[in-house]
Amino acid sequence: MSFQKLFPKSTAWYVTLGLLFSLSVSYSDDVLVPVTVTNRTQHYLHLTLNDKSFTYVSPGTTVQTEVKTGAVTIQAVYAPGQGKSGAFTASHPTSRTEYTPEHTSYSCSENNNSSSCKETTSPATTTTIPLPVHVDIFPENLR
Amino acid sequence: MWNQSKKLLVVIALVLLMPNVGRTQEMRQFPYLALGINGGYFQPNGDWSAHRYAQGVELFQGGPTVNAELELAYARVGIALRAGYADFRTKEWEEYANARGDEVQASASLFHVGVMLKPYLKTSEPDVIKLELGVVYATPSGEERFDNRRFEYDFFNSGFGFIGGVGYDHYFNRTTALTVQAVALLVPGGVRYADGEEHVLRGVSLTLGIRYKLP
Repeated sequence: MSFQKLFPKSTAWYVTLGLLFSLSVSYSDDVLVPVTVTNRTQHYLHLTLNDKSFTYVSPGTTVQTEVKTGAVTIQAVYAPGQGKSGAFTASHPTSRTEYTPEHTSYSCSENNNSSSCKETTSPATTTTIPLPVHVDIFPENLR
Repeated sequence: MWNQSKKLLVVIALVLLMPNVGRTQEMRQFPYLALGINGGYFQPNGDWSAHRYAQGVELFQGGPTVNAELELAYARVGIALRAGYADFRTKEWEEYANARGDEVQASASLFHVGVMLKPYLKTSEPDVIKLELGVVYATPSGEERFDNRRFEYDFFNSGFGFIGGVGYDHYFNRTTALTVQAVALLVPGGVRYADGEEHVLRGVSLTLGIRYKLP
């Protein structure tokens, strides 16, 4: 059986479009949380936000990244060659979990002089709520 | 760098002065495929390589470079796929920081792939001269190790760039040539710091290599 018989031109066209579309769609369920850090010193800093580096961050500059929910570890050091030394490390949660316990509700209705009640139980749920993080780094933070 | 450049110039001069005894000028048969490999020196050019706050210090200096090309030559023009790599030296910056009590180890490089268009200015062998024009996708990268930590150079940005220059081939026989390329590489926005400061990443390379016409 030839290739063209197996895949007529119009079918091949739709298959190609479908493949391109599926490649362009992301199925990630991760919620990303913005994290910003501002250099409030008079010197250049090297920063890391989890695994992401920011080198030679000038005074007054704010850097931004997005991290998955959980926590972010922020590290900062004076960039080398400035005659300054000092390091800063801090961890911040980037989400909180809200727990809703199981609860039961009743609803009653009357019909033809008789009443009936219905019991409805909602399951317990946990919801992850993202917490954006902003940190200012002052000279006194770098020890 | 000067010593390396001098060596390269001497080799180029020797190739240019080689006698053509026993050789006749040949018209090439088009189209044909050729494979070329070149190596040489890449010199950064412009303010992108300067250190941000260490006055007069270059964060990146020139270093060795290699590139490979697969060319389809037809009549007076060739189209080539190209891949290249350049290594930047960081010794000047490391020494500056070390002199101020900070132990720094840095490294950086530039990789590119692209398509070249090569209009031939002179096609009669053994000496062939052509323009080297191309669009490339460049990926600069680097890192700095300091204070027992590793910091990636986040200010490097991958993107499209341009190559322009001149190439010269000297054929020893029907298939093999010694090649010399002098090209400039430009990558707009190749360096962009977190505070918005942006530079064009650019440099020039002088390379020597071998080109082989595939059967």
